[in-house]
Amino acid sequence: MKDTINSHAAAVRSAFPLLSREIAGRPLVFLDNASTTPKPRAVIDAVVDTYERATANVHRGVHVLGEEATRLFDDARREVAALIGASPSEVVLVRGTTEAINFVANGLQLGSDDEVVFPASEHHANWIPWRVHGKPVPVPIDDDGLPRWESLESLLTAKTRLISLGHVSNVTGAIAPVSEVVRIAKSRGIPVLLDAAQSLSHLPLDVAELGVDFLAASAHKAFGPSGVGILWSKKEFLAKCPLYQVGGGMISLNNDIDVGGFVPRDAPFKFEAGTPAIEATIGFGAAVKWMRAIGMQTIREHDLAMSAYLFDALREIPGIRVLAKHLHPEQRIALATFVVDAPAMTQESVARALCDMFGVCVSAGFHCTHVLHARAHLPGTVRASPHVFNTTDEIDVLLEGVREIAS
Amino acid sequence: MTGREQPSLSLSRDTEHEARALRSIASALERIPFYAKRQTHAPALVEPSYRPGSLEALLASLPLLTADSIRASLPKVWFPVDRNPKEELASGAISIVETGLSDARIRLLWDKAWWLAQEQRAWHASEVAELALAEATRSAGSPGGIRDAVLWVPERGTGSCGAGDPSYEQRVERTRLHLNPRQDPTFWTEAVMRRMLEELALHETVALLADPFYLDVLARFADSLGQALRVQGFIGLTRSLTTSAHRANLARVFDPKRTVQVYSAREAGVLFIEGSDGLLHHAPFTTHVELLPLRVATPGASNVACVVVTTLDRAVQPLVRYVLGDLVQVATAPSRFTTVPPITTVEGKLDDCIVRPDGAIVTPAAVDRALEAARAAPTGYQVIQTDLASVTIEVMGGSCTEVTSALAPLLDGLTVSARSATAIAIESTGKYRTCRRMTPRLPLDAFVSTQT
Repeated sequence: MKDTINSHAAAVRSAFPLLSREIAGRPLVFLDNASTTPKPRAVIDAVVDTYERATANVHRGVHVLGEEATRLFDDARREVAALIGASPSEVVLVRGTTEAINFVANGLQLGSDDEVVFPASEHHANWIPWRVHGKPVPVPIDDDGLPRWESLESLLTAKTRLISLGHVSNVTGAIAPVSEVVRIAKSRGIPVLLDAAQSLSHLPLDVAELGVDFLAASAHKAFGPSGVGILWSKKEFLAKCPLYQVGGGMISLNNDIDVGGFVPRDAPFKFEAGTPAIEATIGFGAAVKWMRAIGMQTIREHDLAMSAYLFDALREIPGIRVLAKHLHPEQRIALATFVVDAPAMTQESVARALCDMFGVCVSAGFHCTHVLHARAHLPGTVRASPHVFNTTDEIDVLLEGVREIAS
Repeated sequence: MTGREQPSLSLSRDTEHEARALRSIASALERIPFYAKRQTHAPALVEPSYRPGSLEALLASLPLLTADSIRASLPKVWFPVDRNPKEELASGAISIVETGLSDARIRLLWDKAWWLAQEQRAWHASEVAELALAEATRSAGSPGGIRDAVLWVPERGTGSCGAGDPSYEQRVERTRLHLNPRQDPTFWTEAVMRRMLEELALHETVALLADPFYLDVLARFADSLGQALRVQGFIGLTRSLTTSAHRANLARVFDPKRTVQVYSAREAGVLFIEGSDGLLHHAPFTTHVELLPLRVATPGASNVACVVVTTLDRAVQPLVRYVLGDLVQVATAPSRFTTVPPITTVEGKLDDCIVRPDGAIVTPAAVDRALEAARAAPTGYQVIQTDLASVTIEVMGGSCTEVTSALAPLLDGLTVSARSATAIAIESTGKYRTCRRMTPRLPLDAFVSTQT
């Protein structure tokens, strides 16, 4: 187990300039990948090269720089599409997962009685849109924050317009039973939205195999820059989906724009009004290329071994409560959320102490899942989320810190 | 042929070819300011009457002309000294177009009437095309214009902001239908492709001239609908390399015996056209072509030469010894129409060839033949040389492992890796490449002997 983790980590660590940093004289231990990942040199170079060598707008410039920027930009969309087994024409570039889910919420044109079923454990990005668009129907969760999927069918009605689920929970790390959810949904003709924010960089994804109707994801949790993400959907939906923003770059015909009419381009371009996040998108492409060069199966191998190593150790520490600790590694990614029973210390102060005393960067608080925390009676939690570059030595530093604080 | 009687070609050998070439060169050097500025002068050996060997001697004395050397020139320097560029450009008789990939793009003076005339004439160098055109003329009852369609980089409409998709009527230019108003076929919708298929029939298309990469997308869609391509006569494949996968996909929706491979260049017109013997023969009247032998090994391809073209009887922007940058395999068979030998294949751009550490170059067509021979040809692919020692292959609709194995012998000495892709990248000019070298460009004389 340790060999698997450390050999994979050793192969990629040098790609991350951030990891050479020290905090208060201690080596940085970055365990906050569920918030955002560090960026490998390939991504940094891609972004910097764009600024240094190809600064230009895309799909507009007739000069060499414009053409080079356009090619890099278009290639990034193609690269991301390849990662999820999709056609580039089905990939809409958005600001991130949140915008992608809002895109669907808007596109489905839900009425106030139209029901959207989703686990109560979801991130606000997959909660609040259903409160604004349609009627939220949360799937109950248990005390560990895990959805009671067995109740899913009983929640589906004639008014159910969508099932929306996070592929991987940003709190428990649990992998949702997508194939079973899709089977149930398809039997009733209900579309399925998959929030892949936490899975895009951890699991091999193929939209055809998954069988979902929508997939939303962000670049910044997958080694890319912030400010760009994707909404994947089938061509049929994109063809009829109403526009939620309009402007330059998405018009096919504007001869009669002064009298109120215009013809939009085909998807995905009709949804991408205005100058896009060019550098971020090119960086996203570089990030995906970097992950694919490692291999998503290799990343998953590291993840499985890391999951076992992390949870085996955390379970043994007295004074902490670990969420979903009984899940098998195959049912989760290497993401551990726990509560440290330390008198007079909030979970935020636990995380601050881990950083100040041990150089360990983790998240703390509610992780945009207030409903989960409320229903699981949690006063906030600490979340450690390793990735492919993390070693067992780094996990040992985390464990040392947690033990010391908990004791 | 399709069991019908094979016609004898109406074109006969151009006995004046070399004499016309001599006169054209002399005229260009004397009357075109561009050549005067470059101080390219016709030596004294240019004489009014042709003598055997004098064309070769003259060409050998003249420098090669490259895209780099004409890129920075303005239109006016390409008009004969006694003509008025401003008036002719304003009248629309001559327009300015662009060609070439973004890193080798040039602007050309474009005489559409000249282009169409030479294109129509060139079809008569192909038995398949000539038969189709003769039948179309017969059924129409008069020679008239042949109804053809083109499918390549959009010339009418671009799908870009504000331009809009032109209607069928707006895309018809006399008898020619421009099928495609959109860039990158990756983003063609089903509605766009259905419209194209319907318009092919509606237009009563006798000939379809198509970039094989674009046609491949349409052919696969037609196949998915169980439809054939409704082209009455023939399909001319032009503009880029026709891969084995393209041929296989097209064969499912169109009789392969009615396809004709065409090698043309926007700078010079139709250069070679496929005959019934399977060879591409030099189309007469418009150009003289030199085939400069390569000085490096070309594994997977033999008798490879670089195409250098001199335009004939063209008043505006005549080109003298212009390096197109394409490689071809030269055939040993006798020439049909001129003294230029036929070719067996167009191998692709020299700048796209993969350069091995041992100095040998692998042409795009050699790559495709290796894939076909190993039965490993994917739906689409792009071989990218990222540095002097490494090659990455994007594989669409095929096995990365099989593709890597199939190409390993050809790419000896290079580290080869393959990745799956759901689409192949398009160039900003709307063209596709099956091979792409991202290492710095090397000078022509690193590969080519500059004399025939």
